[in-house]
Parts: sequence; structure tokens; C-alpha cells
Amino acid sequence: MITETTYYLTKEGLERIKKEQERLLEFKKAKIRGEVPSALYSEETNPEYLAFQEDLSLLEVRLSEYAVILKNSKLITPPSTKERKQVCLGAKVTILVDGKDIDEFEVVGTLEANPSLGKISNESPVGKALLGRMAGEKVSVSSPTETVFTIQKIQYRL
Amino acid sequence: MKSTLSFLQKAGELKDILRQGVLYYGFKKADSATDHVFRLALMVWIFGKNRKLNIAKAFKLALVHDLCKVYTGDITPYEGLLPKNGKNRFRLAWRWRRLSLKEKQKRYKEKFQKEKKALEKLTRKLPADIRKDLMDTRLEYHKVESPEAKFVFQLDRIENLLEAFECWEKDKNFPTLPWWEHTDETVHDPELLELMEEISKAEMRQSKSRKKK
Repeated sequence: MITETTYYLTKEGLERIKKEQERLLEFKKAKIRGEVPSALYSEETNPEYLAFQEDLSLLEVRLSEYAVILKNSKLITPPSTKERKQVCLGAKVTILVDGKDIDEFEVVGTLEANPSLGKISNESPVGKALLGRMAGEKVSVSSPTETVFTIQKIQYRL
Repeated sequence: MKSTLSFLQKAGELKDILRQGVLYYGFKKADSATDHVFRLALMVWIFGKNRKLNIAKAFKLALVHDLCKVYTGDITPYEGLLPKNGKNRFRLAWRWRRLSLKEKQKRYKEKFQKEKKALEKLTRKLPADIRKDLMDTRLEYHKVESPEAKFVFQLDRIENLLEAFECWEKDKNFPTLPWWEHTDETVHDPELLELMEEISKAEMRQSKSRKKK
């Protein structure tokens, strides 16, 4: 659900959304001109385009979502030297789980989250618990059994 | 039509593919892949209401996301990490996802390639347009970029959690913690977080009543 909130994006994420918005606008223009949009010929056509071909209102919804996202987007930039000691958006965090196992996450905005790749959203329970914490701190997430993370290392792509 | 019938028959084999996640923890009566997809589709319907989503696409994503399992079986992310026997088996399963970012990326690519090959094999003889639709939809789910894919991906994890909770209801020694840990990393949608909260409350209520007995 797209609402008026702040969308935190990395440079790559922002580029991807801008590009997709441009492609959709081109698609819409071609449809209005009565042409078959060239995007439909592409080998890697986004299946969504086929739905847009049949239902223009879906295309309008997606375009308005992109407009809201871009209007409310905030670029994730490396924090100041002082802030780098704590977990901010864009941080790669190494943690020790329950004193036994090492895990690694990258804290990103919801639009770029992909937990299978270790990219967790800042709005997920784990993401929320990690934000603002420093190396050496213990963080617990309990729903309903408690898991304790000890932050070992915080890194940023500078 | 012959090839479509053959595809549907093969897809029907999902009814016999059991969910490995709960089997690892010794729970014998695991759900099948179709049990999982059925409830996931219901969740898409219920929680998709009043969202600006292409709901038909969300249903397709739910239906296709496990289809490749007719050839791959139920691949869990700890595939190859667990010893077949031994006393540490359960503890290792518990921490199966605890990997470096590099290792997570490697396993993600490997899993995707394996599943892609399986789906190519399954859909090989289908009409080209349907085949492309199935392949593209699977790719979209894998990328987790579109709003529909993000929505179904989160629901998928909650359905898994719900299954684990039900296993625990039947077997008090069954651990739900690994599923909680996974869901806590995955879900960020406010309404779906509320659903998790409800499951959490139900588990705590039952836990208390068990202790009283």
C-alpha cells in the first residue's frame, strides 16, 4: 500500500524507480496514440505491462504510486563520521545471535528490502530494533520468544 | 490440449510434496505445497482488499511461487547445510539462515537458477504465451520489487509462521522461534505486522494455559 510517507532509497534504487516511471510514461503515451507500445516486444517484458495493455486504470495506479514515491523519496547517503558508529539506513550490520551464530544484514528502506539477500527493511521488527544502536550493544526482538542480537560490526559503503 | 493436460497433471504432484521446514523439526504431519498455496491465496484475497494492487497478479504470484517444487522438491535455504543425522541436526536447522551477506547472495542465485530450470522443464510444452507468463511471474516474485511481489512475499512468510504455530499447537515441543525470527526480518507492512501480533498473542495465551496445567 503506497501512502504519503518517506521512502528511503539508495542511489541504485532511486535510479531504478525513475527508469521504470519513464518506461511506463512512454508506454502510456504509445497507448494513447493507439500504437502497440514497444515495451511489449521486449524479450524481458514485465508481465505487468500485459495487464496494463488490458486495463489502463492499473497503469494509472502504478504511475501515481511512482509519483508519490519520487515526491517523498529521500536518498540514503553515508552518515557523518560521528553517526557511523550507529546503525543507520544503508548500514551493513554483523550480529551475534544468542551468543552463538554470526549473521549479516543490510538495513534498507521498504522498497528495496529483499530478506533472501539479507536486505531487511527499516520498518521490519528486526530493522527497527537495530536502528540507532551501536557496536557492542545487545538488541532483543521478542515476538513472542526473545532473540538477543549483539551488534559486532557496523559498516557503510562510502 | 494434450500438453496442457500433462502440465496440469504434473502440477498436481505438488499435493504430495511435503513442507520440509517442519519435517526437519520432527513434525510428522507436515502440510503439502498445495496446502500452503491454498491458504496463501486466501490471505492474498483477504489482505489484498482495499489495497491499490493488481490483485489478479498477486494471485498469480501466489500460485506460481512454489510451482517449480514438482521438480526441485521443497528447497529450504538450509539445503546442503544440515547433517542427515546427528544430535546437532536440530540446532543447525535452528540457525540455518545465519549467513554472511555474500553467502546469502550466493545461495539466492543458486536457488533461483535451480528453480528456473525446474519451471522451464515443467512449462516446456505449454503454449508460448502462457509459458512466458508463468516464467515472468516467477521472476517477478524472485526479484521482490513490485508492490504485488512484496505483498505476496510477506504473506508467504506469515503463512509459514501460521503453519509452524499450528504444529506447536499439536506438539508442545515444536519450536516456533525459527519462524518468528524469519518473519521478524521479512514483514514490514503495518497491517501484516498486526496479523503477526495476533498470532503472537495466541501463542502466548496458549503457552500460559499450558503452564497452568
